[in-house]
Amino acid sequence: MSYARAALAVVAAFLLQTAILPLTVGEGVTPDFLLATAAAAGLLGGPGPAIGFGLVTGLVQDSFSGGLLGMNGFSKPLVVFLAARGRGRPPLDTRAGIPLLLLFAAAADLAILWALGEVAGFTAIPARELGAAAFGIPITVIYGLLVVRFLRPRPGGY
Amino acid sequence: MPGKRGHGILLGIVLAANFLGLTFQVRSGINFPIRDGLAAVFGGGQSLVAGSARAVWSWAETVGEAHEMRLARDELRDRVARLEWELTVQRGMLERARGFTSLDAAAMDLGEPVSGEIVGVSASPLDRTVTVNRGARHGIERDAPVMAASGLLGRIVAVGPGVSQVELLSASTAAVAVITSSSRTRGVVRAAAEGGASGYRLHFVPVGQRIAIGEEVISSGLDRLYPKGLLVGRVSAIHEGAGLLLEIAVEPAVDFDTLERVFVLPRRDDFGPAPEPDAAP
Repeated sequence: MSYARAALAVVAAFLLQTAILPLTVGEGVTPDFLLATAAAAGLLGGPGPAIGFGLVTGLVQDSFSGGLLGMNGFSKPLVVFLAARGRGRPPLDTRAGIPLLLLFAAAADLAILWALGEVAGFTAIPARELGAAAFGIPITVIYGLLVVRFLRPRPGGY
Repeated sequence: MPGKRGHGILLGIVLAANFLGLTFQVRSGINFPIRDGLAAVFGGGQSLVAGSARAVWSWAETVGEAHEMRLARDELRDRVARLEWELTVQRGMLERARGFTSLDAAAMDLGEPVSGEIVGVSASPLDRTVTVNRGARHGIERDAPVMAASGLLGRIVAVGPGVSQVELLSASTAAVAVITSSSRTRGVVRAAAEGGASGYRLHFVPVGQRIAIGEEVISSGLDRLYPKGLLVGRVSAIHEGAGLLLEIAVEPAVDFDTLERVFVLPRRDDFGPAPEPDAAP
């Protein structure tokens, strides 16, 4: 995996999430493009890059979300790391494992954020936003697959 | 490269740092200054992309709205044309009933018109015809009367499978038998011959007839070609000529330059005035 391409994908996901998403996707559906990008990078790069990309994307999300800094910074590295670890275990090491791990990452991220808000007592996430994020999971997975395709190393040429 | 253990430690540090940071923020109410720094780094690109995306989106919305408005306009135009048509039919029925007998009103139905659009005009300025996108396939027959929403337009002179040609009343070869609405004066309307004018002339009206300016001129049905009661135009000028006939100018009811939609009536052999009540066997 090229880190330059991965960084480019993070920037693109950020701009897509913050600038274009409000114009295109209807209210009540909020995919997480940054998580999808971090998870894709983690799935291809392994647990180490997964923590790094998860942390960066999480902190960027926190910085631009108006909530507490560290909510996504906590959840994203964790779920992306777990997805990357899962990638090395059968049967998730097959081609079909990628969408499943992306699905896991998206769902687990929501669960952790909910737990941080409700159980740990940090900022509680409104049910409406939680629902919108849940409805956005399929889009998150599809976008993650596209990013995986973008980041996957190309076979060498002549 | 750190091993599994190294990754675990790294993750633990990251999670612990974030958790402690969260706790600190909640307890102290202080936000980390990193938020401002990141906003400064990403804010420019974000606003640039958002601005561009909004501009594109706004443009797309404008195009979509313009398309919808065009559709709505066409629909309204069709509705107005249809209403004008119904008004014309009602006027024709009234005229027939007024001139003859109300008992024949039921027989005055002009039939269901075939609505069409003008898709071409004649290339020659001398040939006053237009092409309509309805033909034999739609039940159009030669000599069928053609109306615009505002009045009588002409007749079909050529029929193809999908299109037909309409000879306009403004053509020098066209004529229609008429009657004026108030004075009940009969005559024949033809295109004004002089100067290529688009108006009509009402012929064969003897001097002494009391015709008023603005009076409606409607088809009389005596030519057995056009049904009775269709508005042809309005009297616009009256002059006493040198002979025994009046020279009467008629302003066409139809604006030939702005025609879009026409109605082709079914050709019927019984067009014309209903029989007089006392003409019963």
